[in-house]
Amino acid sequence: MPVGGKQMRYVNTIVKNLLCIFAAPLLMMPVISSADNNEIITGAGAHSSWVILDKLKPILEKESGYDITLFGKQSMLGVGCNAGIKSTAQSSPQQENFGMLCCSLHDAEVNDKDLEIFPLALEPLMILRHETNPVTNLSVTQIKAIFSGKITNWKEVGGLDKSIVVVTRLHCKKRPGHWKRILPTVDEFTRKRINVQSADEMVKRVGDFESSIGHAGTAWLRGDNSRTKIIRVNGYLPTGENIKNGHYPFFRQLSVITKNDASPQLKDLMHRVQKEIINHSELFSEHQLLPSTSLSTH
Amino acid sequence: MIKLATFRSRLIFYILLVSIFLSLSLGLSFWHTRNILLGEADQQLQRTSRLLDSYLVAERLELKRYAGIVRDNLRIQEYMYVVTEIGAENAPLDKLYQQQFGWLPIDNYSLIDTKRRSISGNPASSIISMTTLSIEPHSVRIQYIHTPQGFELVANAPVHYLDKLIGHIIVSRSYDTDKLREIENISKGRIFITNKNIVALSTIPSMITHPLTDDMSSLSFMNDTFMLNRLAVDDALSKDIDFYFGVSEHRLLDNIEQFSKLILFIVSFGLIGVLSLGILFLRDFDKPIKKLLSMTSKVAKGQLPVVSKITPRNEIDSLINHFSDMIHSLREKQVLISKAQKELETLTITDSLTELYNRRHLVEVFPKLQAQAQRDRSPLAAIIIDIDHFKIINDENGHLAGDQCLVEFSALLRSHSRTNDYLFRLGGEEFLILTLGETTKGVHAVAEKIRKATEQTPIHYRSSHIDMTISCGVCVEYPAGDKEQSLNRLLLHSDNALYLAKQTGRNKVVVHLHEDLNEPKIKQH
Repeated sequence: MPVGGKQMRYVNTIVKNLLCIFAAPLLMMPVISSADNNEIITGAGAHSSWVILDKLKPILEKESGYDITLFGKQSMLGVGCNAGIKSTAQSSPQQENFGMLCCSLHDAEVNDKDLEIFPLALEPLMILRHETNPVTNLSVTQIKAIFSGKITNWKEVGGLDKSIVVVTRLHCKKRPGHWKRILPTVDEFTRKRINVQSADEMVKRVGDFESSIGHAGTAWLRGDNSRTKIIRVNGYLPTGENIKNGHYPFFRQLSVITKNDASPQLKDLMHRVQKEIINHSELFSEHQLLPSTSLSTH
Repeated sequence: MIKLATFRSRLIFYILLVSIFLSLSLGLSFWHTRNILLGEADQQLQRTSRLLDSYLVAERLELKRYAGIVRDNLRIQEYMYVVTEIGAENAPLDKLYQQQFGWLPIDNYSLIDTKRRSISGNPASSIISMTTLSIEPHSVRIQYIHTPQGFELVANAPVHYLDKLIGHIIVSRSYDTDKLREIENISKGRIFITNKNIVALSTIPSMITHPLTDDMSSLSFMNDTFMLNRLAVDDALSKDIDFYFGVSEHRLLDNIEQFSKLILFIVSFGLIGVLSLGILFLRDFDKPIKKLLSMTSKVAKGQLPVVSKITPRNEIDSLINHFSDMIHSLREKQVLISKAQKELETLTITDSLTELYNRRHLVEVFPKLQAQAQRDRSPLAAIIIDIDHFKIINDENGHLAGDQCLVEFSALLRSHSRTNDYLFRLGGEEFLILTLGETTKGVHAVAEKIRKATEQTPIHYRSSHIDMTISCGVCVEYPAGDKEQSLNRLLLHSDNALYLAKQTGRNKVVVHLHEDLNEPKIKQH
């Protein structure tokens, strides 16, 4: 049905008004951006890497002139390594992104997605227990036996007569390292376990069951109310130092990634991150990280 | 045919009609409403039953939904798995359930393993043992069960973890008397839960174990009967358990009775209203009209009642006042008429010159005097007086002088006679005095006193003195027989005595003496 003259004028008026309403903020954006003359770079991904980037952000912004926006604090389901990789893949010259990963990548995935990896640090994997569990130290063999289901009761490792509740977070299954340093494949883990989707859930589950055991990166802040404690492995605590000297076997690699064809400025920024870590010893003391510069030994 | 001759009777008749009409109308209304109430009660039973069906179905769906919500919670599944398959303590499961589902409006819950062992929750073991567990994944089974503790609506759902059945979630709602009372509050009736057609739960404790009638349509208990309607509970939910909704016939009858009381009250109130109106109407109309009737009746009988004037408040008051004015006017006229009549009567019985009674009055009054004399057994005396030589007085002094003599003599008679004496002018210069109860001697003394007074009292006419004497004939008799004859005889005897007085020299009194009285026939003085 044709629109009459009056109706057409009415529609035009509405369209004009709508354009004014929505176009005004768009037109103003360059003005706002040009006001501080900074470009925005977005980083997304795993919490553990976010911890490093968040700490370095003021220095990086100051030196590079970028506005850096980070998404990854306490990353849970949907905002982790995969989100970081996806965000990096969507990077464009107009809006450059980088990813923050908590695990290593296979070469095939790197090549397929045309990525460049910038390793940052190694993060120890804590073996967690309930605070009431008297077992404070386990050997690597015992840990592997527990996670594989060969040991099912704490009394077998000197603890109370309680069935062991194995809590796992078997994410990034196609990537090397990480939990695979405990047992290399999913199938090797006991079927009588519960598998959680985030570090937050891991800490809660282990805190709920007195006879539980689990694992999480040291960069995860368990909080003061957490009812979990760390089990020493072979008598060693999960620290960067113990990783470095080979006493602690469970860890994962933290890194940032960009697209291979990312701008030199972004890549420079990533290099800058790698270098700047060294200058922040609090990252190592607080989160027990081992800088990438020490990776040559691993 | 009733004759309604008076305004009052008509008014009463109309009030009676209105009262009957009112009573009949309300009686019919009551009868009609009673039938409606009975019909409505049956419909209410059906409607409420449907409502309760919906309520029970909604409750079942709600419980089913709660069981599904718990079953689908991943952490519950996970924790149940940890407890059932790994053998961890169940305290975290309890805590998790309370955190996540403690708000659910249910009475009992239980998480059980595949061997019906409770791993969390609070239900009685009988609930767990009597519940028919559902094993189909994603299914929820709902049923009513009758445990030793009471009735339960139970929903259970299988819980799977990693595609393995690890247990069941059971949630239930208890049906106790409080719960039934809660349902009854929305239904205004009674809910009975039966097991094999025997009441197993009721808000009337004494009805428990009471059987239904064979046709399951009613439940008689003590003096009451409940009309029952079975609520829709699928046999699949419970084989022997049924829900019935019942309405007490007593309650229905109470409603009708209350309604009848209301009608009775309205009728009474209406009748009182009508009667009050009637009384007011009678007071305002009948009473004044009755008063008017009474007054007019008296007036019709020749009476003129005293009617006080009142402050006019309405037309009838004004009418009474006008009537009062009319009676007052009539009374004034009547006074005038009486006065005129009296004057006329006086004129007819008195002599216009001397103002003494005339001969006509003598004829009228004599029978009364005779009757009185006869009653008193006393004599009746007559004194006939004739002025001596009156013709000469007229001739010498003129008729006016003669008239003056008659007038002054009449005055002298009045002054010397007693109050019970009757004085007559018989004609010309002849006068008569009739008196009762006097002896001949006494009468003679009176006549003599008059004679002497006349003799000693000259008549003054203009500048001359006229000496005048009289002759008197006296007769004293006991009257008997015919009145006219008696009068004639008395006058005759007196006249004879007068004649004798005239014959014997005038200016004297002569008494006629009767032979039977042993008195001289004629006594001269």
